[in-house]
Amino acid sequence: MARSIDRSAVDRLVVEHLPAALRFALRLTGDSHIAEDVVQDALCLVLRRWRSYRAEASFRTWMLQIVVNVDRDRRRRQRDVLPMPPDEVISNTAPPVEQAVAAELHANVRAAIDRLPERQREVALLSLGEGLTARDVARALETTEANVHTCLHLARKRIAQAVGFQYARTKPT
Amino acid sequence: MNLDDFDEQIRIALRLEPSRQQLARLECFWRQQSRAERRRRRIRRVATLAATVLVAVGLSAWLWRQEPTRQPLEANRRTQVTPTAPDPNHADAREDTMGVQPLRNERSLSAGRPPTAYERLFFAAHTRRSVAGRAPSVAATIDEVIEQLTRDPDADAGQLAESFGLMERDAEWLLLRQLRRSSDEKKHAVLRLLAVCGTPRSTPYLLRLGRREAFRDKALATIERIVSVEQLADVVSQTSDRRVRAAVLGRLLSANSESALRGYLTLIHDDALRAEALAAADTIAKPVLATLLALLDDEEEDEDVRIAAAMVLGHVNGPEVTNSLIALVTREPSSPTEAWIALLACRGEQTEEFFAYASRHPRLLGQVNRARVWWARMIP
Repeated sequence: MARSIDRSAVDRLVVEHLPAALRFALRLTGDSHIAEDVVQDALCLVLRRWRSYRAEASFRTWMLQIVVNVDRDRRRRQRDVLPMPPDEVISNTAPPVEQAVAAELHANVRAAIDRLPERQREVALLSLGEGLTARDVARALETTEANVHTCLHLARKRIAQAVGFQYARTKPT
Repeated sequence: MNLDDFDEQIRIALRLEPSRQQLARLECFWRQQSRAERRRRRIRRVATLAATVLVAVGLSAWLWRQEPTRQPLEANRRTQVTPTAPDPNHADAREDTMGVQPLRNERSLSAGRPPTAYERLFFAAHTRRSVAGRAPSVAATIDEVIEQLTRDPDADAGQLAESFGLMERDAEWLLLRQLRRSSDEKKHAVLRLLAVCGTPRSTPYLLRLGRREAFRDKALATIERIVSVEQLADVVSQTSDRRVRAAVLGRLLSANSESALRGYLTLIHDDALRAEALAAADTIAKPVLATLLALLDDEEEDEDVRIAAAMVLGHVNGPEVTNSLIALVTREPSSPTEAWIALLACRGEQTEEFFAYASRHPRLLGQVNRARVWWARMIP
C-alpha cells in the first residue's frame, strides 16, 4: 500500500541515490557540467514534490523519473545534439592493450546508444545502464511495461546491428 | 555471444563513475537547498499564524469598536420619541424632555472603568500610526536605493546603503531576491549593493548569476569584495560552470596579491581542478611569473606551494621561463628539485637540448633522475 515519507528520510534517500542520479544524468546529457545542472534542477524538484512520493515505486525510480523529466525539458529548450560521454569520462585509466578489442566494442555500443531515438535511449539507459526492472522503467517514463519491452527490443536490435552481433529476441526481459 | 553476454557488454559500455568532486558539490547543494526549504516552511508557518492572529485581533477590534456606538444609537432611538419641536408650555412635553435629559447625560458603561490591556494596546497602536506614521519597510527602502543607483551609476553604493540604514537592517536576503527578480538594468545596482551589504551567504547566488556572460565580471567582483581576494580560491569549487571557474581562476592570477596566488596554487593539487587551473595560467602576467620563480626557489616555503609553482611554470613554458629555470638548476652549489620538476614539464627544443647536455654530466644527471622520480610520483 502506498505510504507517505517523512522529511528526514527524504534527506537520507536523496544522498543515497545521488550517485545513481548523477551517473544517469551523465549518460543522458553526455556532459558532466550539464549533468550536474540537470541533477541540481532535479534536486530542486525533489524538494518541491517529495510530499507527492507515495512509495509505490522505489525512491531511486522516482528520482530517476525526475531526472528524465528535467533532461527532457532541457532538451526541449535547447534542441541540441547530445553525444554520449566521451571515453575519458567513462574511465580514468587507459585500458590495457589486451582489452583494446573490448574497448572498441564498448565505444561502438555507446555510439549506437547515442544514435537511438529518445525513448529507446532512455529505456536502454534505465534498464541496461541502471538495472531497473521493466516495471520501474515504465513508471519512470510514464508508459506501459509492454512499451518498455518493445523499446528495449528495438534498442538491442539497433545496437546489435551497429556492433555486428546476430540478435534475435529469445527471451522476455 | 548470447543475449546475456550482449546485455553485459552494454552494461560495461555504459558503466561510469561520476567524480567525487561533483558528488560532493551536489550533496552540498542539496543540504543548502534543504535547509533553505525548511526555513521557508517555518517562515510560512509563522506567517500563517501571524496572519490568523492579526485577523482575530482585527475582528475583535472591530467588534469592540461597535460596542460604544450601540449606546448612542439606543439613546437616539429614545430621543426620537420626543417631538422635534415640543411646546415649552406643555406640561407633558416638559416632563418628556426632563425624562430624556438624564439619559443623554448618563455615562456609558464602559467609560467609567479603566481600559483593559488589550484596549491600551489597540489605542497605542492607532495613536502611533496617526501621529508618527509608519516607517518605510526595508523592501521599500531597497527599491528606492536601487532606483537611485540605476539612475546614477556613479553614485557611491556604500554611502547610499549607509544613509538609508541598509547596513544595520538585514537587507541581504531582500537584495538576493531582487537579484533574481529584477530587470537586467537593475541587477547591476543590486550587485553594487550586495558588494557592501552581502555576506558569504550570497556567494552561491552570485556564482549562479556569473553563468551569464553579461554579469560574470560584476558578479565575481562582488564575490571578491565580500569574501576578499584571499578566500577567492575556495569559491572555485563551489560552481559547476567551467566558464565561471575559469573567470575566478583568472581573477586569482591577476589579483596582484600573494595570498591570492597561494590560493591558486592550492588548486593545482586538486585533481579535479588541476587541468583548469593550469589552463588559466596561459594568460599569466610577467610579474606573477617572477613571483612563482621566487616561490620555487624559497627553501623555507612549503613544499606543496613550491611543487605547484613548478607545475605552473612548466605549463607556461616559453623561452623566458625555460632560461630562468635552467639558470636555477645549474646554480652552484645546489639547485631546488622543484626547478627540475618545472623544467621536466617544459617542452621545446631548448629544454630537450638542455636535458641532452645534462645527461652527459654526472652531477646534473643525478638531479634529472631524482626529478623524474618525483614527476612520476606526482603524475601517475
